[in-house]
Amino acid sequence: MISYEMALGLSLVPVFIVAGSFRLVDIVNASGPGGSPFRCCRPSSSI
Amino acid sequence: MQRFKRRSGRVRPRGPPRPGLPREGRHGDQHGGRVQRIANGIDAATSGRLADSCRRWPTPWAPAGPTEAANRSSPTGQGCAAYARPRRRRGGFSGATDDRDRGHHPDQDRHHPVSLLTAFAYSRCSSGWCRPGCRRAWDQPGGALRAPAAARRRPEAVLQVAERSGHPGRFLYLAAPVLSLAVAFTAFTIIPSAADRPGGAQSPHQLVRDQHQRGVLFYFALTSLGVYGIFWPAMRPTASTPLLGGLRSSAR
Repeated sequence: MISYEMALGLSLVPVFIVAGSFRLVDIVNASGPGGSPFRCCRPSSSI
Repeated sequence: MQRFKRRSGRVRPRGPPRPGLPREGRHGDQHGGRVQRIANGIDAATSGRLADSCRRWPTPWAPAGPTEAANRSSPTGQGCAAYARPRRRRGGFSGATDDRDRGHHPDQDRHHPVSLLTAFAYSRCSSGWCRPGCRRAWDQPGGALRAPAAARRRPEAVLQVAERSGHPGRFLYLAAPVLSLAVAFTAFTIIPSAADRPGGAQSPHQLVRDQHQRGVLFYFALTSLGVYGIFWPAMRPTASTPLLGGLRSSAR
């Protein structure tokens, strides 16, 4: 249980770093038309 | 015929028992088991009468109606505090059938969603909610598969514990689905379905404006509280087996 949750939580860290915020609206805007999709810049987290 | 005299002065023939009067019980050989059979009949008749008088006993789940009229005519006068049913065991395994099963009532056949999901998905937990007689299934071949089937046939045997008023585990049992639904719906308040308007205005489809930039952390905290919605129905001070089942279910 701990192993998969650790991987799941660490996969979100790059998203927060790129978005620069914990707000879901900012995260959506960062990956929207003005920004780059996270699965392109962070493929490891996407996997 | 050879005779002998007992201490009570009653003379009876020596030899095998007469046909039709088998020796039953430890102390029933003096009367051929007739006393024991009569006692059982009185007990069954009394229990059946109490069960019939309480068949229309209202429950918190059932709406009040004509049941109140029947309730007033009950021998106890206040619902059915001592309701019981005949001590008759059905064929095969059919859930809890011991003497402490007298809390069952047809109006209490209400399926609790959380408990039924836990009972069917995790059979060990369902056996913990049953009476000790229900655990006989685990001693039989294929008992792990038969206990959930018995709980499905008689869900009242599984649910009667927490539906009984005054039970120590009743509050958490009833509050657990409330907590689960509250957590689930509250988490939707921070999930945006549209981007913010230009100039920093709030998104029209977001219920709560997250000004402190902690939306994801708030979501994680809420989902962590949702674990208690699974664990609370199993918390009862009268048994430890459902506690282990609930702990295992919440860990999953």
